Amino acid sequence: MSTVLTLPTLVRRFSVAIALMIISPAGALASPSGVMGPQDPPPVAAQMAPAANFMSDGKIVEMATFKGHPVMLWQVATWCGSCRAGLQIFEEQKALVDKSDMRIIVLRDYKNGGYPGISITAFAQQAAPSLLHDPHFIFGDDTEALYKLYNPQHYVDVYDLIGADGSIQVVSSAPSATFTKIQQFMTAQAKP
Amino acid sequence: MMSATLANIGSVPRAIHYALGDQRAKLWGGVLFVVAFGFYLLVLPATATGGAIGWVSLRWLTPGEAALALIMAMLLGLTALLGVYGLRQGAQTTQGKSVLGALLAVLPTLLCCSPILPITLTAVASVLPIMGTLGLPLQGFISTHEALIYGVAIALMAWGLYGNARRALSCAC
Repeated sequence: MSTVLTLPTLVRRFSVAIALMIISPAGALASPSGVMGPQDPPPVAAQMAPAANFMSDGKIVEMATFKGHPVMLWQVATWCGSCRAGLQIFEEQKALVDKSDMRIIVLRDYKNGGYPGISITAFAQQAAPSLLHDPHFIFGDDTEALYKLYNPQHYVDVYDLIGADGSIQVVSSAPSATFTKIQQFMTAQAKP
Repeated sequence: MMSATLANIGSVPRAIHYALGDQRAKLWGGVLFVVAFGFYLLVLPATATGGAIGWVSLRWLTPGEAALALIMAMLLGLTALLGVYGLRQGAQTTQGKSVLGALLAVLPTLLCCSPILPITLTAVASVLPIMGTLGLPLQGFISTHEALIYGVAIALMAWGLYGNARRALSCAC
């Protein structure tokens, strides 16, 4: 059985198809902006960074080691494009970080976020090699406990900005898109 | 067989030549090309910003992504040109493959590193627990196979264009 389509029907169908072609990229515009974590998280001023540890250079490092410094705890996967771009932003802004008291802990997600990839050192070597020798940057691997505590939603590129007093002040994602937040935090935490 | 295939492919520029003579078809094709090119320029580099789109993503645009945006926008624009021309000539056109290609092309941006997939799968996992473990591996796969996904998207768009060219020619009497 064949259906005879009239010209207006065809035009209508064609217009819908064209609209879909346009809308499909536009759908991407509706994706959350600059977030791979909560965009507007509830205030966390009273929340203290929980005790946890991670692995760096084969050693267990306690988060408490960094108390007294503002800290950015950034969890990444080494297959993630925005994480790579984030490291590149930090390499560009290295002078700014070096002037601050900030410590930036870059940790490979527990089990690399469930998908294989290179080590965190190789990742940094590829994306921003100068950061590997910068004392403000610490590279390592999540422990399962830290991953569960600081990234319960299992986001791929997420960071916590922890004040020198140990309180979590900002939770955000993708430094490549949100570096301004980090810069503001650094300024606010600068010692007089 | 080979020469027949080449002759078939050769029908595309011929159909485009005919279609360019139709003002309305040219207008549709031109508008879609401009809109699609602008969108793709903003959308493709968003894999580097975790899905953030706008000036922030444009900063990360690479020459390769600009070339991809141009190719895909041209394919969509030409498909629209031939589609409108074919319709005006009385042909039945289909846009299924082109739409699929256009959707596929935004997949890496939408799903690679943005929270869409984890959030969706977390919601699904509340009903079907096994789904909760799929989100990150899927994001990892998309992120590490971007070139393949763009290749398939372009192939689908090219196939759609070829189909419309044949239909347009069959009616260009």
